[in-house]
Amino acid sequence: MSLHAVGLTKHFPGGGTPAVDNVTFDAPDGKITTLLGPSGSGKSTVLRLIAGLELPDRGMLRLGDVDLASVAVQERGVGFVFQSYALFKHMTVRENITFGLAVRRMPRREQADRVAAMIELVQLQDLADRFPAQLSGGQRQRVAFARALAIEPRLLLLDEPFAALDARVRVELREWLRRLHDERHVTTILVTHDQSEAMELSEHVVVMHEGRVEQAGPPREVYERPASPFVASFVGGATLLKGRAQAGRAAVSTFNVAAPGAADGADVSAYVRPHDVRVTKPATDPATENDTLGVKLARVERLTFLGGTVKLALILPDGAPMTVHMPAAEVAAHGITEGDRVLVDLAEAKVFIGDYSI
Amino acid sequence: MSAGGPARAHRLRDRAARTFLVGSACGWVGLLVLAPLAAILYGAFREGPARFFSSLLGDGGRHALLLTIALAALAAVVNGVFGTLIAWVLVRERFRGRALLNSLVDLPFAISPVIIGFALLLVLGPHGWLGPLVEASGTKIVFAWPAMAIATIFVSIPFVIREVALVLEQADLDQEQAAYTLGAGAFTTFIKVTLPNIRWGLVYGVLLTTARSLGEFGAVLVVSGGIANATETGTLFVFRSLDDRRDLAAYSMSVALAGLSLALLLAMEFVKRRVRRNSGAAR
Repeated sequence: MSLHAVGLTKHFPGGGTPAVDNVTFDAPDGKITTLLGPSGSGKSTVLRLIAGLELPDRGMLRLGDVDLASVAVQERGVGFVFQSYALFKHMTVRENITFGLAVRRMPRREQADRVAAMIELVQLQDLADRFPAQLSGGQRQRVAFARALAIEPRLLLLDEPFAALDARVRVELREWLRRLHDERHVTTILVTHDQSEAMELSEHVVVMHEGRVEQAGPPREVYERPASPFVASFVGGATLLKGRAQAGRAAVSTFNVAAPGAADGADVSAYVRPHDVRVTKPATDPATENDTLGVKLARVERLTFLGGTVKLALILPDGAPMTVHMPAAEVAAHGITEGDRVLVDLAEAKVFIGDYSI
Repeated sequence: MSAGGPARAHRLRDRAARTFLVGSACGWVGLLVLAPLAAILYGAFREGPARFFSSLLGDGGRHALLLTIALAALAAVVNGVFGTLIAWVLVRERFRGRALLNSLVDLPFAISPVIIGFALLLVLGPHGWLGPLVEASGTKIVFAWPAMAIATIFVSIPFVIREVALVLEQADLDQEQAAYTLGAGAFTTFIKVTLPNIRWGLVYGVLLTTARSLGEFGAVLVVSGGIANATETGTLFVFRSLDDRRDLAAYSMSVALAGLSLALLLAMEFVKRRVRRNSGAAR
């Protein structure tokens, strides 16, 4: 069932600015929608408002055709997976999964059948009579999913479900969740601060910042056409360079980039993504540390191998830092090492006019 | 070698200091706790087990012992329920006057039990504020078991409140919220999720309450009148026996009460371990 949030606003007592400020978005039926943002952006509060664990000061929530304003948390039929898993630690795996069915007074035989199906779904057949303390993090997480799904929720809410897991388990569970979703198509809202998680899992991304929605759309669109400097830097991990426009171009740091529509003399911010930079190693003039044609060169501060790609921390000629990702093979082919002088070539930069706030 | 010299001297000095510390701690406890205990134990059984039992159970002793146990059990149940309720309100609710309530809760510890008994007498006694009301209802409160029960409950309630508040503060709110999202109401959630999480803290608080109730003297003395075979508890029995120079009866009741307390102490050690293990295995 699709969820519509309109103008959601929530203040917490003692907090000056609202935790959630006029948030409007849709979570389409049968899809995974991600609320993506840094900690403190209000994304978890939005999730708790949808679940009914908090009440909004203003705004409307509609699930399918039902206005949720007068529906108590117990009646909303949402499955909630907490970051801490929140398993009942005095109950076994089976008892945890049964809990929601028992309080709904489902007939016992049906309960047992449903629980058995859930245990099979999350592949915990051998561990059904263990207590949460006897399980690994990944197993606990799967119990939390099974418990939330057992009540056949109309909406599945996931609050940073993979944050407490180690990297390998996180990737496995992500793929498992993706497959699970493709089978069951439960409308899902996922809260995360991890852009790769958002990209991999969701069909719809809502980027949040300081309690507000910055941009909403398909992941690819959000990545390729960031609507604000914040989205460019948070989703793309882009480096910010500042400068001034002149005749449709702008000089930012030591680069000259296209700045269509910028008035002469306007302040511009250019965002350069780590992948949109090419670094080459020219012949260096030892006297000036420029290249042989006299072009100023950047310095490689640090190389970090991330598997297939290499992260280069550069210091530009004017002293500004820049992060670049390049294929490891390309770095090796150029023979780039730490301390080298390199030529930086911008393939593309996203330019925002007049925004110096970030 | 040259490096080993000072380190070794240091260790020797360390060991001497430790021996001194451990020795004085053991000696102190022995002197203050074990010696008196041994003395009453010796006194109680000096004339043989038969005389121990006859002097313990004779002359109102049996009634006193049973009354003490009944009052302690009542205090344990009442304080278990209302102590948990008050602890819940203090930890979970935010209201004006919460800080005041929080400090009032410890009042029974801070004030002498004799004064508490006296205060109860002033409220519930024949000439007290509620005196006419009590008289109209036709029940006897002061100098009867109801006032003794109220006094016992009053002096021992802080134990449950403090112990339960402690575990409630550490309890995982996410678990309760998970129960709500799964469709459980507030009451079901408390019984099925919150209570199991705080149960060892509650049991510990109730055991402390019981131990305190068994030993209560001052408040009960004031409100009961201490009439043998009627309103006399174990401690009052010891007091009267000493007064009447019936030392053997005093020794015997003391041993019986100390034995009950010791059993509770052992139970508390067991529970404390469970509490620690439970909070260690959080999540």
